Parts: sequence; C-alpha cells; structure tokens
Amino acid sequence: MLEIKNLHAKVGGKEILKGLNLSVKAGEVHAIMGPNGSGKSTLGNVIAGRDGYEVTRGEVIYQGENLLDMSPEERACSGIFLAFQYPVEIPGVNNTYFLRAALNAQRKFRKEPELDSMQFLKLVREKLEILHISDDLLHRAVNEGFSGGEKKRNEIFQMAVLEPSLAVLDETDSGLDIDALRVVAEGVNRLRKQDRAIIVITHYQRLLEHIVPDHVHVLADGKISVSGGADLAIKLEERGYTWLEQGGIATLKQTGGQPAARV
Amino acid sequence: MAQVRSQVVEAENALPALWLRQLAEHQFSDSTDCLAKARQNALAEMAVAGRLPGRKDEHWKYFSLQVLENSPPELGFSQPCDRPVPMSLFAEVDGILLSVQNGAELHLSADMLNFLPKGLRLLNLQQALADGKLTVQIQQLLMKPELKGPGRIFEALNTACLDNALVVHVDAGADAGRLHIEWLQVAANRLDNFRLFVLLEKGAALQLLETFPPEDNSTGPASSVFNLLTQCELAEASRLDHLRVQATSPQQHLLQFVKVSQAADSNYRYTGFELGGGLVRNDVDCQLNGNAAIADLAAAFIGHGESTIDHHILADHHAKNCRSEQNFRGVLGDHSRGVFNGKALIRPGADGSSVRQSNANLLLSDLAEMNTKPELEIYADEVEASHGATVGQLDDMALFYLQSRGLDEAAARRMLTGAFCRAIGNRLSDRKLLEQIEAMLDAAMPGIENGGQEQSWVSC
Repeated sequence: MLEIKNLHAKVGGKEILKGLNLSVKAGEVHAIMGPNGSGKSTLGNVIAGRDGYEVTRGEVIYQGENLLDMSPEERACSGIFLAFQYPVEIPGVNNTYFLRAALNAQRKFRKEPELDSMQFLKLVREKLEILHISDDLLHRAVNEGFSGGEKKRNEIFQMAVLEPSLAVLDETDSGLDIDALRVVAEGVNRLRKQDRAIIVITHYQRLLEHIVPDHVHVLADGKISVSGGADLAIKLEERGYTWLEQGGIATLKQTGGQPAARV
Repeated sequence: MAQVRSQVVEAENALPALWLRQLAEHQFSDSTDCLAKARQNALAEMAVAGRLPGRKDEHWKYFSLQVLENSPPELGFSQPCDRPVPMSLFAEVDGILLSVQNGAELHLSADMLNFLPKGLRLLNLQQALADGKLTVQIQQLLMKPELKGPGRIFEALNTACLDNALVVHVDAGADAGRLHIEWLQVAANRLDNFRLFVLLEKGAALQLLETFPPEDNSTGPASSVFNLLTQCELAEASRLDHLRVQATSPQQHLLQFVKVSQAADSNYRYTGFELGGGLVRNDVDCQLNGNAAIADLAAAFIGHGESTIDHHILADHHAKNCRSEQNFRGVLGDHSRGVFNGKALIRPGADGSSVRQSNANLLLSDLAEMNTKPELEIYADEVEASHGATVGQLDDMALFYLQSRGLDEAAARRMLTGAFCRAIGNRLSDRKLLEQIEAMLDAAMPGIENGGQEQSWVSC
C-alpha cells in the first residue's frame, strides 16, 4: 500500500529525514517510535502533504501512485488520513458541517453520490458509539474548547467517518489519561481492517499495549534504525532510546531484529 | 510649488463650491421656519468648512474622497416617487416594507398606512412638524447634529439639502415588529441625501432592517453617492434593533451617519453586514444619556477590488452603569482598505460603566490594508473595560487541517473566512434572514491570493 524509499526531507532548511525506508501492506499496523526530534511527526506531515515540508530526495508510492505529486486534499480523497498530534481549533465551523463537507468532498472525488444531512446523521450516530462520544460534540465548533482527550477522540471519530485506507496516528496517545487512552485505542482497534493500514507514531509503548502492532520501527536521526515485532517496543520501554544509541542496535541486529533476551 | 499647492486646494474646494452653487439656486418645496433655519445654518457651516475632509483630518485620514473629486457628483434633488419600487433583497421576509429610490420623498399610500402594526407611525417631515406631539422634538433634532468643520461637511450637506424626511414613530409600550427599508440607487453621477428619524417612546420596540441592493446596471457604469443621516431617539426602556445589509455595486458610494440618543434602560443594537460598495463610510454615534442604557454594536465587512470600508464608532457614556460593546470583523481582499476607529468615552460620573471593544481582521491579499484604532478614554471610577484589535491572515494550520480531510483549498478558505464572520451573523435570531445573509456572505468573499506565509498580528 505504501512504499517509502530513501526519503530525505527538510523543514525550515534543516534536514530532518535522512534516507527513510518503510514498506506498509494493507491490513498491517506499524508503530513508529523514537526519541524527540527524530523525525516522527515530520514523517506524518510529509505523508499528509503539509506545506513547508520539502522532500529533497527519495519517493513515496501510495497504491502505485507517486504520493508526492498529490495535493493534501487529493491524498485525503485517495484515502490517506492523518490524526493530528495537535488537532486544530476552528472557531465558527460546526463539527458536523465540517465533517459532512469533508466526507462529501471525498465522495465526490470518488464519483460516489453525496450524502444528504439525514443520511449523514445516521452514519454519524453509528460511529459515535464506537468512541463513546456524546451528541453534544457534534454541535460544537471543530475542536474549540475541547479537552485534550476530546480532541483526540474527535480525530479518531473523523477517521471512523472518513474510513481511510491508510491512517497515520501522530502521537494520538499524548495528553490522554488512562481511561481515555483505552477508549481511543479500542476505537482504533475496531477500525482495523484487512484493506486498511495504520501507522501509529508514539513515544511510549503504553499505547501499543492496547493497539498491538504487527511491526515496530525505531526512528533515530531521520532514519529507521531498527525494525522488529511488537516486543521491540517492550524492550525499548525497559531500556530507553539511549540504550539503542549506545550499541543496542548491534545486539538487536545480531538477533535478526528481535530484541535480545530480557536481562 | 505654489502652483501645485493651489491646484490641490482648488480640487479640494471644487466639490463644496459646486454644491453650494446648486443649493443657492434650488427651490425647496418646504420653507417652514425651523427647516429654513436649519438649512441656512448648515449652508453657513459648509461655506466655512469650504473643503472636503482629507488626510489632515484625523477621522478621514484613510478615507480618500479622490473618486468623488475625479468625477464630481451633482446634488440630486429627487422628485417625490409615487410608484412602488420593486424590492430586491429579502422581499419575502416578514415585516412592513418601504422602498426608497435615490432618496426620493416617500409616497406613503393610505393603503399601506392602514396596514401598519398598532403603535407604528410613518410620517413625512411636514406631517411630523404639524403633529402636535412631535413638533418640538423634530425641531430640536433638526438643530442637534454638530456640523462644524470639514469632517462634518456631509452631515452639513445633508441638512442643507433637507426638504423632506421619513419619520418613524413608535408609541409608548408598543412593539412595532420589523420595518424594512430598502434604499435603491440608480446611478447618474449624482449625490443623493436622505434624513431618517426614528423616535421610540417609553418601552417601545422596533426592528429596523435597512437593505442596500446592488444597482441595476442597465444605465451604464455611472457612479452614485448616497448620504444618509439617521437620528434615533430612544426613550426610557425602549429597544431598537438596527440591522443593515449592504450589498451595493463598486461604483456606489455610501455615507451613513447614525446618531443615537439613549435614555435610561434603553437598548440600541446595531448589526451591519457590509458586503459591497465602493466607498463605504459608517459613523455610528451613541450617546448613553440615561442610567443602565446599552449600546451593542457589531458588523462584518468584506472588502473587494478597490473598495474602502470605514467604521467610526463612538459610545459616549454620560450616565451610570451603562454598557457598550463593539465587535467588528473585517475580511479584506484584493486592493481593498478597511478602517475601524472605535471609541468609548466614559465621562466623569459615569461610574460602573462596562465597555468591550474588539476588532479582528483577515487580510487575504498582499495589497489589502487595514487601519484599526480601538480607543478608550476613561474619566470615571469602577469601570470595566477591555479592547483589542488583530490583523492577520488565514491560519495555515487550520487550512491544512481542512485540506487534510479532503476539502480543496478554495473550499477550505471559504469555510474559514465564513467562520470568521459567523460571530456577527449569530446575532440574528431570525433563522430565515440569517440563512440568506450567510449565503450572501459566502458569495461575497473575495478571491484569495495568499499573501505569503508570514502572520502579522497587531495588538493594541
């Protein structure tokens, strides 16, 4: 579904991604971990097509097409969804109005009939239950005055309504308490599907206890430094990123990408 | 150098001189003493002022009258209009409808007058001056506006041309519902004047909806100027809900002066939507004379092309525990210019006053310009006051957020600019009217050239 080859990207003139390779297949959940400043959020923004993220080398192929040639809205309409680390407050724009406009823009792009307000409301009610979100949230302005937890839930709710093929969750766990984390993770799990890939960007292993990934990658200094299965995350949680930097990678590589035995 | 200077002076003086000549020759139909006196006084003030206001006059600094100087409009003295003029904006909303073309004297038909709600009276100036109850009040109002200096020359001109007017009167305790006046201009390189009096007795209520539709273009691209002076007298506990929807064409220039005098517990609410026009000047002056009066003023304005939209707002607190609010939002595209000068003056003894001022603006093009100046002058105790102004561009992050959900850039920009003005639209309780105005706002949003990535925020 997604092939990233030798991706180099600059933000504000500074090179952040320095030759990143990643291959994601439909139905898979990939976790991307890494210390602050390693380029995790940059990767999310490059995939979604944010202005100011300049790709200097490499390519990103999504469903056989060159993703980097597409505008952010074309990417969204082709099934890419980014759950923002900091969802944006948009005063004056009603949440339902916004989401219906977005869904209909995507349906129009795919030459599907647009939904009228009744059809849309029906769809929305089904999705609300998944995330235990109250109706009240629909009538408010997009993210305005939402608590941290509500904002993140609203992101996953949007994902549930828009039904993307590839979702990138950028630190969806940050700012969540334990209960909210569980609710959001359950929501994501219910959206796991054979034809949908999910990339979870996170600092901590905590979220991955709930959303168990098929693959874990560690991003360090703009590249994937090591990849492994779900237990790589556990290993990292125990030893920290510094352990990796100080030679842990070699240990891992010797064991074929699997973490070394627990000490 | 001296020659250049004298040419400039000549150009500045040309228009008042032209108008004074025309006025000297004009035969007025009504020469009642008090009216003749008001006109004479205004003429004298015009002659003393002698020029149009310009850059050197603080309140006209950013409002260039060059367009008028380039093709000087003659004064239009309209003949009474005896045929109904078709309504074009909001023809289907409820309320009593009046339509006025080029400031012509209204023909108030008996049919229409019979259908007015109880307590509402519509009179022309002669009728009002002959009405025992209103004579003195109208006489006083005729002499009331301050007319001194070039900055007041349009108010002086309005008074100097005063031959007729519309007097709207609501009896004590009556709720007159909505009165809708549509001001139509047919362009002919002329300047028309009109005077409106709105008199609300104790406890009376009225919604005044004024609409300014685009002119009919069939007569060609001639320009027009409409100079409207409205005097509102709000007696104790009366309530005037004043709505203005202006969607005129670029060659139409509108000057509006609203003077509101408020007694205790009265409530004046002004909501403007400025969606078109060439030169648009709105001066709203609220005199809060009685305790606990409220002036709640707001407008959304959208600049296009070369237009200038200028709001000069004054809330003058004379009495205790009054509240005034100013909430003005501008969206400026192309080469347009916006001006906001909002002042709240809390006089000595006006203790317990509460004042809020806010002016937020979006610049959608590199060439658009906004001049904002919220002012507070406080000479009393226990006053609660806040003011602020911002000038910025659309938030790139919000734009990206909407695009990342599938909306194309133009739709995302429209959604954000529309949202920016929604706070003003939400003041309307009539949903039908609100929907129409929101659709007009959407349609009026200027083409957007992204003015770079930088955000500039000005805070005062």
